[in-house]
Amino acid sequence: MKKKLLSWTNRIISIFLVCLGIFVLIYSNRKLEFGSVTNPKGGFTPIIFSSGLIIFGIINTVFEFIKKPEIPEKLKNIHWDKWIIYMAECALYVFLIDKVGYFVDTTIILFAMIKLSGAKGWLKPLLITLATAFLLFAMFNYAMKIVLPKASWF
Amino acid sequence: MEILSSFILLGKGILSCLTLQNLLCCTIGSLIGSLIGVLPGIGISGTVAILLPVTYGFDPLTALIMLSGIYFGSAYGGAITSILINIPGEATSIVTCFDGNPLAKKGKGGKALSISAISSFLGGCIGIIGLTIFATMLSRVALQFGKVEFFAIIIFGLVLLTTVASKNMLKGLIVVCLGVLIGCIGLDEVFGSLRFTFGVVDLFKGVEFVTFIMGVYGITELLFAIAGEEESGEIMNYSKADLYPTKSDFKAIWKTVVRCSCLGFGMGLIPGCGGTLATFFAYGLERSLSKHPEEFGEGSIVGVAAPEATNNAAVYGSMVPLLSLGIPFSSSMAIMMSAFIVHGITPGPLFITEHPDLFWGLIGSMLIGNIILLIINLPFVGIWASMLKVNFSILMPIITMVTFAGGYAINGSVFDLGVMVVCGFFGFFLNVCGYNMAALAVSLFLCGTLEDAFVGTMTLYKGNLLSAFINRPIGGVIFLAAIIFFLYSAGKNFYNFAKTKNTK
Repeated sequence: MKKKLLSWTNRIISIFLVCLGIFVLIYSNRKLEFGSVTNPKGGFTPIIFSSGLIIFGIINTVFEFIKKPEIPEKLKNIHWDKWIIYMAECALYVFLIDKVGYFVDTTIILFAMIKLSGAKGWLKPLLITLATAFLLFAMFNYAMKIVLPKASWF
Repeated sequence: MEILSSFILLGKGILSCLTLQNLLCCTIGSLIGSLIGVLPGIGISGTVAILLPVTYGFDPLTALIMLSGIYFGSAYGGAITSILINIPGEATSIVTCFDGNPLAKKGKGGKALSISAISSFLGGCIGIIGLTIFATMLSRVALQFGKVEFFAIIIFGLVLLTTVASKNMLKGLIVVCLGVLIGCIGLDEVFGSLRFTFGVVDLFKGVEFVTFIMGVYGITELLFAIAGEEESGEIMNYSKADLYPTKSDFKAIWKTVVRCSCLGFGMGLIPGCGGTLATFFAYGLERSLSKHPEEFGEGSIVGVAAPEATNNAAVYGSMVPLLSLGIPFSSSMAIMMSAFIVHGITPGPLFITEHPDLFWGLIGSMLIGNIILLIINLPFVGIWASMLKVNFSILMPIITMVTFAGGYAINGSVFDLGVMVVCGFFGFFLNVCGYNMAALAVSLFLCGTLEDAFVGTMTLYKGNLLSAFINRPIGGVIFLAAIIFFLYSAGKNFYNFAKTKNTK
C-alpha cells in the first residue's frame, strides 16, 4: 500500500498542480478583472499563467500515466516516521511561538527535535538546547536588535 | 582608458573593505559558510538562505563582505564533500567528484582539496577581472533597455531555465507558471488590486521571497538531511605530507585554469546556463585537449582543477546580469539578490553609477573573500573532513532553529514562519518529483518585473508585440532567440521521449 502510494507521487503531484491551476483560473475569472490585450488588468497575468499551468500540467499528467509508476529516487531512502515528526515539530513550533514566547518555544521544540532525532542521554541535549536557545535569543534580541516574540507571562 | 578607471575603482573598493571589522566578518563568513557547506545535502543556496540572518545587524558593505565569504565558503564546502566522500554539495560540484574522489581514494585527498582551493581562487581572480571589464560596459548598454528589452530578456532567461537548467522541460514550464502565480499573491504593484489574499491581511504584502527560499531550500534540505538515509561519515585517509601541490602540478594545471576560467565566465554570462553546464563543458574540453585522456576519471588533478576554476569564474559571470540588469538567473543568484535587497541595495542599471562605493566594494569583497578562503582552508583540510563526523541529530535541529529565527527576523511575522513550513512541505515533494526549484524561485522573483515589463510593452504598443519588437530590435532579437530555443528544445525533448518509448 505504502509502496504503491509512493510510486504514485509523481502522478499525485501532477494532478494536484492541474487542480491548483483550475482553481486559480476560476478564482481569477470571478474575482479579478482581465482587461484587454491593449489594457491588461490585475487578472491578466494570473489567467495567462494558470492556463499555462493547466495545459502543461495536463500534458505532464498524461506522460506520468503513460510511464510505469516508480518511486522517485529521492524518496527511496526517506524515513517517513522521522519526516512526519520533523514536520509536526515545525508546525507546532510556529503554532506555539507567539503563545509561549520565543525562548520557551525554542527550548521545548529544540529539545524534542534533538531527542526525537535519536540523541542519547538527557543532560547533554538539555544543555545544548538551553545554550542554543539563549544564544539565539541574545544574538537576535541584543546584538541585532530584532525583537523576537515574547509571551505576556515571560 | 575606461577599463583602467574601472580597475582604479576596484582598487578603491578593495581598500574600503580592508578594515578589521570587514576582514573579521569575511573570515567568520568563510568559516561558517564552509562549515555548513561541508554538510552533505546543504548546497550554496541553502547555506546562504540559512545564514542570511547572521548578516542582518551589519552595515551594507560589511554585510556584503560577510555574504561573499559565506557564498564562497559554502561553495568550497561542497567541493570538500565531493572530493572526500563523493557527495557533491551542489550541482556545480558534481564534476569535481569524477577525479577528486578517486584522488582521495589514492591517499591524495589533501592534494585534491588544495588543487580545488587554488583553482577556485585563480578562477575567481580571472572572474573578477572579467566582471570589472564587462559589468560597466553592460550596465551602460542596460541603461538603454526599456520595457520591451526587459520583457524579452526575462522570457529568454525563463526559457533557458526551463530548457537548459531543467532535466524535464515540461516540469520546468510548470514551475515557471507556478512561480509566477505565487508571485502574483498580494497587492499588485502594477494595477493596485489585491490578488489571492482571501482576506488574510498578512498576505497583502505577498509571499516574502527570502521566506519562500528558506522554506523551499532551507526546510527542504533539512528534511532530506533529517529524514534521509544517514551518511556513513566514512572519510578517506589522506597523507598530510601530500597536502600541497608541487611545481609540476602547477605546471600541469595553469593552462587548464586559465582556459576553464574564461569558459566559465563566458558561460556564466548566459542567462540560465550557470556554472553546472559550464563545468561539464570544461571537463569535456580538458579531456579532449589532454595528452593523457585516460587519466580522467581515475584521479587526474587537471580533472579537479577544470570544474573548480570553471564554477568559480561562472559565479562572477552570472553576477554581470545580476548587478547590471538586476536580473538573477539562478537560484543562488536570486538568493544573493534578495540578500542585497535586505540590506537596502537594489542591483540594476543604475546601481553601478549611483552606488559605485558599494558596487566596487562588493567586487573587492569577493576578491578578499576568495583570498581569505584560500588562507583559512588550506591548513584546515583535516578539520573540515572531520566535520562530516558531526552528530546530525544535534546539528540539524539547531540549524532548523537558526532558520526559523532568521525567517521571523525578516518582517517580525509569525505568519512568515507558517509560510516557510508550507513552502518546505511542498518544496520537498516538488523536489523529489524532479521539478526545478531554481526555475520556481527565479520565476517568483521575476514575477513583478515580468508583469511590469509585459504590461508596459502591451500598453505602449497597443497590444501589438510584433510592432514592439520591430521598433526595439534588440528586444526583438532576444525574443526571437527565445522562441527558436524554446521550439528547438521542445522538439528535441519530444524526439527523445518518442525514441525512449520505441526502444522500450
